[in-house]
Amino acid sequence: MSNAEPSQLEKITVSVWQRYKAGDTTAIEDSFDQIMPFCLRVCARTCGRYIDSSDEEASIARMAILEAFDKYEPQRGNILLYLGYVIRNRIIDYKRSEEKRHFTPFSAFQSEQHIPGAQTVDLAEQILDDLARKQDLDRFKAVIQLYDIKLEDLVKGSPRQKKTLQAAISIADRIASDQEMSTYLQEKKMIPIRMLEQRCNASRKIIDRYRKFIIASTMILIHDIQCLRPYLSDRKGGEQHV
Amino acid sequence: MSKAQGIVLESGRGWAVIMSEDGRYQKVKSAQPLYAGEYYYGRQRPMLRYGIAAAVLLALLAGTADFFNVVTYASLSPGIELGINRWERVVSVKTEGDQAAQVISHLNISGQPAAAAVGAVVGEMVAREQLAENDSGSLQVTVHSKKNGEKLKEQYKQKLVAKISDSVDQALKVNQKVKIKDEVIEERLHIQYKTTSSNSKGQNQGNSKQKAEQTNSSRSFMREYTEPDNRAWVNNANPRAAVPAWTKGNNDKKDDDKKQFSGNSGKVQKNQQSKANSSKYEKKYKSPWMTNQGKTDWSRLRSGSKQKTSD
Repeated sequence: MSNAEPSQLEKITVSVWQRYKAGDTTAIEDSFDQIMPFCLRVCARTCGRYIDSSDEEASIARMAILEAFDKYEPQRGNILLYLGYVIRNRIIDYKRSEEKRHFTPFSAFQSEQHIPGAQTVDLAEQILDDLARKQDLDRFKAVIQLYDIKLEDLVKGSPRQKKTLQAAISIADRIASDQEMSTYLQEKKMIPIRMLEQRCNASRKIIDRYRKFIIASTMILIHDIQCLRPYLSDRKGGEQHV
Repeated sequence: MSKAQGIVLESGRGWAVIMSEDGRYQKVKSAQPLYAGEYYYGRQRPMLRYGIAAAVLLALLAGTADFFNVVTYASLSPGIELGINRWERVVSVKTEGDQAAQVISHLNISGQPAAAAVGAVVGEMVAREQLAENDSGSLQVTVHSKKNGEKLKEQYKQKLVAKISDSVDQALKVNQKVKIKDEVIEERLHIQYKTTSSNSKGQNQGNSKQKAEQTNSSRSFMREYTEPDNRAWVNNANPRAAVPAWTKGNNDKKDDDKKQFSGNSGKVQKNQQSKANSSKYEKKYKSPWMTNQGKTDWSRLRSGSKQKTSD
């Protein structure tokens, strides 16, 4: 997992803030799709349930973005952390007002110099890590889409038995490690069955039945999807005869 | 922090597609908010469900343990001891000696109500012993607490002993035994019985025969009376022959009917007989307000006079 991704989102957010402060009213709208997933995750973690852009909490998050951009200063630290802090407080205020409690909002007593708590920092960092992994996963989904494979197909086409699963992953490993076979696969979008039978004595039955799973696993190894590779390479007993 | 069970690849409201730690792709349901890129730690079942499940299991275990907990013992004379729980059910059976073991081997009394179980054991014991006609047998049932030196509650003891006594009575009756002596001393029920005699059996049979005969005769007696004398009209082809004259309007019709069937001598005789019977009937049951023609004399009715007037 690289650290470049979180800083990239932070860079984007800082540039949006600078444009907003300079008077560009369209700055937030242009970068909305990049910033909003982060805001939705903060809302979801705060509420404890799945939140999408159609929920009331999402509109609260949009208003919180404007407030955060109005109040943020570089002295306050990381802009994403500050944004997460403001969104979280606004969501809490909204929940309290929904329960019809006569409660003065917590943010009304906040001083200008208040630093986001440790909990908020952990939350924001965790979300940023998740977003970084998500970018890897988006890349994986785009690659398997070239082979006309969807995640639903992989769910249905995953081997159930442990032995078969290990055999399928071994076949994927063989293809990824062989230059000729991997080139054949990427060019013709087909598994080199004959080569596998000749070189590895692979079971044709397993190749035919779990074709999509083998291709997806091969793509993870070829394109080095960091967040998914550990799940394929962590096999006991090393290389196995297929 | 617990170990991640996978990584979320795609998610929606209440579901997520994950890659599990063994490399398999799975679709899971989750009330927690899951987004792509997050680690999946598995379902976190609410503690309440576990609590309820644990409470139910505990209640079942406690109930089972309590069911098999012996509270009282019922000891029968030839070395049989029945362990009874708080619900008056037999949960344990102990025997001393081959005879007792043989008696119990033919019975299935575990889980049965205590009184019924004692009755079954008594019945089996009584059925096995061979008493001569004039000999008597005895049995003893003792109800005592499980703990040495501890006495049972009076009300409970009396109730249980009464139930056992009733059950033993029924068992003796089934095996054609008669109770001679029934003694309840504290927790002990002592019963003496004898076989019902064979003469009394024969007398009983004779009485039953007589009764049957009487019944039959009474039935025939009743049958005779229920059949009226004029039942001959049933066999008569002319049903109007035996009908009382006062119900009919014209006697000539009757004669015509007779002529129609006069060819058969047997029937004519019957007709004559039925006529004689009908005249008797007429004489006996003719209304004082009826004329000879069979009509009602209203003037007579109004005046209340019962004397006959010739019309």
